[in-house]
Amino acid sequence: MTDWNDKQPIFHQIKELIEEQILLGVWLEGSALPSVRVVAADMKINHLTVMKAYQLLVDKNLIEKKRGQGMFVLPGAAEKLKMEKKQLFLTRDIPNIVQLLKRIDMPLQDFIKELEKQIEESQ
Amino acid sequence: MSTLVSAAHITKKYQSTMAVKDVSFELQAGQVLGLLGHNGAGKSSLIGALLGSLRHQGEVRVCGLNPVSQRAELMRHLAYISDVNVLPEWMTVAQILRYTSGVHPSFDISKAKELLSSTQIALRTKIGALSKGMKVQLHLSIIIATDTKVLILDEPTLGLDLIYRDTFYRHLIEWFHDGERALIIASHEVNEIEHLLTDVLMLKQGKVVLQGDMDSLHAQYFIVDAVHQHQEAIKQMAPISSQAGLGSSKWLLRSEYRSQAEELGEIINPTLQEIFIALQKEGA
Amino acid sequence: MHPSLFMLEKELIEHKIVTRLPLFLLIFGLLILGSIMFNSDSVNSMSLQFSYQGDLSADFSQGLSSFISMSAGAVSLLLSIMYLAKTFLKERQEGSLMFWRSMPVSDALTHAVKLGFALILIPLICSALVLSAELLLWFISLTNGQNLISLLGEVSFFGALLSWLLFMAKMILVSLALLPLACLLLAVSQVSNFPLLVVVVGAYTLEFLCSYVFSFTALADFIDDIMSMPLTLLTAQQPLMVFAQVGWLSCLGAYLLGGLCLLFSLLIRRQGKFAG
Repeated sequence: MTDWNDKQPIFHQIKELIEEQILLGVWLEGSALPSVRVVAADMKINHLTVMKAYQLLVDKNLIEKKRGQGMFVLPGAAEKLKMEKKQLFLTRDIPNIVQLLKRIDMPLQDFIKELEKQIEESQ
Repeated sequence: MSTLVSAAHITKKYQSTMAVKDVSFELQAGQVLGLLGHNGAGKSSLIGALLGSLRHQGEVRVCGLNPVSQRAELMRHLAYISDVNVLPEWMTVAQILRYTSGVHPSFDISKAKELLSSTQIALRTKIGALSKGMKVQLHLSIIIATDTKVLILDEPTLGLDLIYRDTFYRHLIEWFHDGERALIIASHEVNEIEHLLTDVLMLKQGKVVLQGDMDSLHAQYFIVDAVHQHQEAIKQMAPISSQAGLGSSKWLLRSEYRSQAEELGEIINPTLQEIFIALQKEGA
Repeated sequence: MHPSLFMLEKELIEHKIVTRLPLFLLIFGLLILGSIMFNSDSVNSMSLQFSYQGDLSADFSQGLSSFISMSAGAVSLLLSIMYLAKTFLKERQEGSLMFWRSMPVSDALTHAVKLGFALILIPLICSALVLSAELLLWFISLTNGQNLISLLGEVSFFGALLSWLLFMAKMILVSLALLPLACLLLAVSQVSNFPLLVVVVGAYTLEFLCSYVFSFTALADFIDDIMSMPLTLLTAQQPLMVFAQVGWLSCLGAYLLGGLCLLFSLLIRRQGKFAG
């Protein structure tokens, strides 16, 4: 059984899981998402919960419902998500980093140097 | 949405003890009701009333039928899996499928065989020789192959290993999704079924202590994770339970205190399990 | 096919002794007959013995026929009573009652099937035993010629069929006489774990009380008549006379009581016991 955190409702967590997977390319644009029935059975949750999660994604114009065929990833969904994540990084994560740098007295130069080093390593 | 189960003022008294006291609920197609409570809380008596196998006060209708006087007709649409095996051990799997196909008008024997072919259950095996998990799987396969509208599960996965639990719930959820059905699950393994439920009925010593749909339930309770300094302030809010942690404690509170508590710490959604344990302990 | 056929089939699977005991007896009889046949010395000595007794040898085939019919009848009666006492009790004790009740089968149909199994199917199976035994004798008399004919007397095909039909006719009467007791057993077996014991001890106690304590012998006679009627019928030369001897009033009373038992049994079944 999937581990859920207790901060957010489950349908929200499923939505984020699918977003993450679209970003990772698990679900390509134009391809079909697994049916509500399969997701519910896989995660041992109520199908209404899955439908709620899918509805959130439909509302964000990331996926669309094709009558009788199920849910499909819309073209440009990954791009949209990337933009969103970038925005989130700028507005939420960077201020956190700034706070942290201050708290541990790390000069900006050191931070940038370390950042460059790790990016190089990961490539 | 059609009402599949309606129970009004169910009361069952044994000589001196109250097994069930004035329980009422309704269940529509698409709903999954969790019947929660410890052993002896009255779950079995309530199920007995729904199945028409227990004399009781109050009015029960399942699929619009009276479970006692219209049992034969009702059993076309009502099924039950209990924690103890009820399948005849002396029959082989093939024999019980043949029997069911003979007496159950909507039983689809090829569907049942197809379901069983994906398991380790061979048609020629005697039921008595099957493991507990296999018996439950066989019973579920028989039910899935009939036109069951209401399924009652009484501690269905008790004593089942993880793999059987997984297949059991997978088949159950797929079956449930494919039609206009209602499901009642009685269990004390709240964690396992929490996310399957749409509704909850919690019993304690025969009385209802919690009833409603899952969303309203989460709106009724919350947990605040607050540092110890706020202990006194929180105690004013009549906490239902508390769990001490490192430097802070988690308090389960009723939603009327939510705005007050928000200033004192982080708000967390309680799991059904946490509410269950707290309510069962409360006042005990 | 009607559901009742599947239910009868299930009873046959559940109570294997009903088919196995007659089959065993048939094979057993066959072995004995075979041992006699292939040991012609003994056949000779037996025919010798019988020829000493003159007239009696002619009756031997009839005697054998009635022996076959009587023992098959006794086996049938025994199987029926054992089945009736056991069937509801077994479901209750092994827990399968909940499964049978979860099937869309009415209690009335369940009762009809159980009664039909005990009072029609079991006698039919035993009649097959009679038929095959009779036909076997006929077949032997055809192949084995004079030796056996001198022993058995004339055995004809129609004679074999006739004994079979007579057996069936007799068993119809036995089943009719057993019907009230069958209903009683079905009812008692749903409330007691020792239905046969309860019925037998109960009947004797009631009989004893009636005749010795209250000196109300009519009731004691009634109980005695009804309880022993199936067996009396089985051994009677003229079974129809047994009904006359018991009297129509007693018969009527028995069927009324049987009907009450059936109603009671249906009522208990309807509110099936639920464990937990």
